[in-house]
Amino acid sequence: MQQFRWVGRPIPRLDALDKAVGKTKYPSDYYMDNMLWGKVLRSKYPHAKILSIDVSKALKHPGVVAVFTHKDIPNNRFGLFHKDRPVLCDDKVRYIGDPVALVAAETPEAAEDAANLIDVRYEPLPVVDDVFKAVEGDGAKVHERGNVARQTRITFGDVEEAFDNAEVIVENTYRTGAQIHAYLETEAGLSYIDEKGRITIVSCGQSPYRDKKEICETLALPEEKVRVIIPPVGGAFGGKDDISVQIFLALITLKTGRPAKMFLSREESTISSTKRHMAYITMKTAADKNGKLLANQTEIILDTGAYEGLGPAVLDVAIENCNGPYKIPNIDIKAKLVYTNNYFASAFRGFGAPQVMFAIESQVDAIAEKLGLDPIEIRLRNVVRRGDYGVFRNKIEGSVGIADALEKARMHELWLRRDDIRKTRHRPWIRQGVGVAAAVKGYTIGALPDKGVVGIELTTDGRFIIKLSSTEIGQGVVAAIAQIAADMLSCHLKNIEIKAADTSQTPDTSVTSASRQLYLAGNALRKASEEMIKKLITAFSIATGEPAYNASVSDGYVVSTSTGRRLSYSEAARILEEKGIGREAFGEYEVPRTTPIPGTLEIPHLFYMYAAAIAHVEVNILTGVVKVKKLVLLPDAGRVINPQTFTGQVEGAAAQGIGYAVLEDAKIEQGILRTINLSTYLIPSIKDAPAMEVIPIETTEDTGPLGAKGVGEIGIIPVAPAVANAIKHATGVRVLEVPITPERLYRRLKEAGQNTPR
Amino acid sequence: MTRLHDIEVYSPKTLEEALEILRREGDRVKVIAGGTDLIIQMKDGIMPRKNLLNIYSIDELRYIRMGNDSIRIGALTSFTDIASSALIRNYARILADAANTIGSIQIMNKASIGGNLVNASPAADSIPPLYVLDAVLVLRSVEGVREVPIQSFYRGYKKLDIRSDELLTEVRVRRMAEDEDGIFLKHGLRLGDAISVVNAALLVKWDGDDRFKDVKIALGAVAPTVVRARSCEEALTGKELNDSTIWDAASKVVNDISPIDDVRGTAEYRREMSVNLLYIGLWEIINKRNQAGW
Repeated sequence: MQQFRWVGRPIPRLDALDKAVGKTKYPSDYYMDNMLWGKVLRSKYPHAKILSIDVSKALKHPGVVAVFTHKDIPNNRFGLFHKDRPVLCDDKVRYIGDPVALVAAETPEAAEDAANLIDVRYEPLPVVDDVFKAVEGDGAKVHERGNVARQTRITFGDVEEAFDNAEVIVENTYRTGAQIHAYLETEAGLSYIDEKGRITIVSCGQSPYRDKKEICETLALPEEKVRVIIPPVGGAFGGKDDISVQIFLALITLKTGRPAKMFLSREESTISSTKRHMAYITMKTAADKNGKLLANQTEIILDTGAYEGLGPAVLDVAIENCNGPYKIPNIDIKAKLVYTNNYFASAFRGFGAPQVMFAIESQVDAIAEKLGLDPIEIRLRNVVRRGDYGVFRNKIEGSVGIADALEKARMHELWLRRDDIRKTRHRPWIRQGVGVAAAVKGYTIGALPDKGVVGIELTTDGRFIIKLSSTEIGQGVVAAIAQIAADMLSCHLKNIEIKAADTSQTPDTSVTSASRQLYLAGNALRKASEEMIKKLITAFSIATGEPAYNASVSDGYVVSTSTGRRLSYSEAARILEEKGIGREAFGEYEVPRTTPIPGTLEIPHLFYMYAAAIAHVEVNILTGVVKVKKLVLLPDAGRVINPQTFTGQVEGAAAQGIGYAVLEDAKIEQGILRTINLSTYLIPSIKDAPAMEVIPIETTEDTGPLGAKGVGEIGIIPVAPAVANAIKHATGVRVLEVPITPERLYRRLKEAGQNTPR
Repeated sequence: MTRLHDIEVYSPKTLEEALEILRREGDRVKVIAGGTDLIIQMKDGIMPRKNLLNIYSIDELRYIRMGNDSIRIGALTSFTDIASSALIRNYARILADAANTIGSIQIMNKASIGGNLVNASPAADSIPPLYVLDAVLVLRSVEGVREVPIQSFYRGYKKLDIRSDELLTEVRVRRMAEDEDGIFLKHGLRLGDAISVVNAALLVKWDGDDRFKDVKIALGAVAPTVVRARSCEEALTGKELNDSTIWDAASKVVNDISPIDDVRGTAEYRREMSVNLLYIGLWEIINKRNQAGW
């Protein structure tokens, strides 16, 4: 692998110090003089008809400036795939977080008190709280178009014939829960009118240009009247991919002319924010006597709740990955996206893959057990390798590190000690086990068109300002881009400044999602850098009269390879300015893609990330408590830009995976969320986060910037199945549902007669 | 919505001043110490709007001292201090162990033992150890002092034997003797910072025959108040101890508890966890003695 001056080094992130000392301003940190506070009145019922909304009492409340309802919204339906979501509810409410009215007041207390004075008359409707009831179709409808938002079927080969010829068939139904993002900073933002008269929204988000488009469309505002800025955000994980406070803030400032602030309480955030789709997955998987996978028949039902959000794409990702990283010649996938009144599901790190990976990786483990094969060996016999054709008969041309990851896992000391660990019992009620899982997910947004622009400005003192609309949501993309830029532009890292995510100042670099911002922005940056270097060399030719082909850039200078004459970047900047050539360069990158296969919207992808994980668990069979003692993660990382950021991102994702696997139980009863705060919705504490070892499998992605590929989501995906397989190894009981909470596991152990201490 | 600026907050520096305010204001004030429970209840609107008597600055209520045959703990003592106190670790270890599991480091630094007792959550982790250590609560008012055994302090769900002019100023616990052993057990839904689904404290006194001369067991989160498991205690006292007798004894706990379903677990699960937790505790105590070569 080629060595670089900056890329590949564990350099502290540019934003680290400011964040550590509290200097960074997050969306909730913005205040202004004369600012109003916005407060949303949300639905009392999971499903009800709105008969009337009377705001008169609220308007008379001291400190209240305005109260808005659906009547104030010119285009009251929005959504990325299907415009089914109201800004403020008009005909019905469809989940308990649904917004009904918006108060703007002088203080947050006045806003909250006034919201409680709004008199909404509802006619409660039957609650669609179950996807199966929803699909039967004889009951209540969440939307007029019916409760099945999307359904499709994808088949390749002939599963029935394969089942007839199989040595072993495993069939199970899996259930996965609704995970809540639980970001450190809840949804927040500030709006005001800027010096050019634009309604400016400084808020959380993952896509400034798309948020701006949705504000303009719903409020019927021309593009040039709206500006969106996304400062560093206190966590997103997909939960800030959809609109939260942005349109409300714009509305208040539009109607009152005054700045406005919103900052949701933890409870309001937990109730109203999007969740990970609950999934019901039935899988029938067949293999021959050598463990070669022959067929996989899958039925996936995702509960999207009240609105589609990004659900159709999440369903596609579930379809794409439900066969794991394996070559399976015969597949049959039936998939449905179903409306209910349970919540509102949309994007969450992994985006449909964690659900199906839990299923397929449990299946493969069960097949290995039936055949008496080592769980890693069976996986290696089936994994896809570079140049292979995948389940959709798509050629896998990007880098593929899954076989390497599994080979490394096989030699890991934790795996080698597997049987000894299982035999060790330091208490009669403790069982230990070690499990493995593989994972795959496409990065980029698949077959959907996707392009981004990055700009570079050479300053008169010879530094560079990189302009892009990637959002810094904690993942470290901004610092990684700076590191790449320093190498591409051949300068010291301190001479790189990043200006990010302001629609009035930075070009559209598309949404920050799908683990691909580094890939996309990095490639656009490469093009912009090439353009910038051309300009620098032009300046050199002007100054020296030497031909361009003699010149190259090196550490802040343009240097002649024949004469050794050189020109500093600041001198070059002066010449470019004088000659009117300009000191700016732009690069646009369009992500390569395939055409979608019939029945899908955006799959397959051209590029995939992979990982293997080994989990060591300790199960208390008398309580059902699972303690994850160690996690080893082996992500196929492409070229690692910054090892420190990389490890941090993978560990963070894996901790979220532990939450998904054993803790995070969003209890929704009859459409009412019972776990609305962090004392009842349990995310991992430091004591629940085990020792982790992250071993990068560095494959070079030829199309990526300096060989890099996506990595943001892959860390979460193998964790739940690795933990479930470890529990099986420890106790002999296979769990079919995540989260594997103590009470749930205790019941399963008891049913299986596996809870006697000895 | 309760706003702080609508509330009067009295912040006396001495116990004497605090008692005087309590005499004068009585029911009109709510005592606040660390505030880790109260502030949340105020925010959630569970607490009726009242003025606050902030006793957090009364440093004379922060101490851990050896008494004649007891350990005296000032009501404002934090759980961090209790968990790390050599006195408590040596003579009332189960209380130190419980203090260590109360919550996050931040909660342990801020929350006080007196607050935990007066908040009277059935799941409070400090209360079961205090039950088995025969704790006595010292209540002071300008009228004088009352000493109340912990079991008669709790009269029902959040019903306390304390007058509106009284302040809980001290907790006294018995010192564990050489021939006593004990254990604190907590079953929460995650490994750190969890509210107990069931918690329990066991205190046993060994006789010369590897049997229990005396047993005290208290459980939390399974009834409106912390309860003593009298049926188990009886089944264990003076009996031969082996795997089957301790299972049988532990199973009797269902007679002593009355758990409910809530967001953390079903009543049925709580019943089974009570049994299993007691089994684990008894096994640990007996196993420790066996290993010590008795």
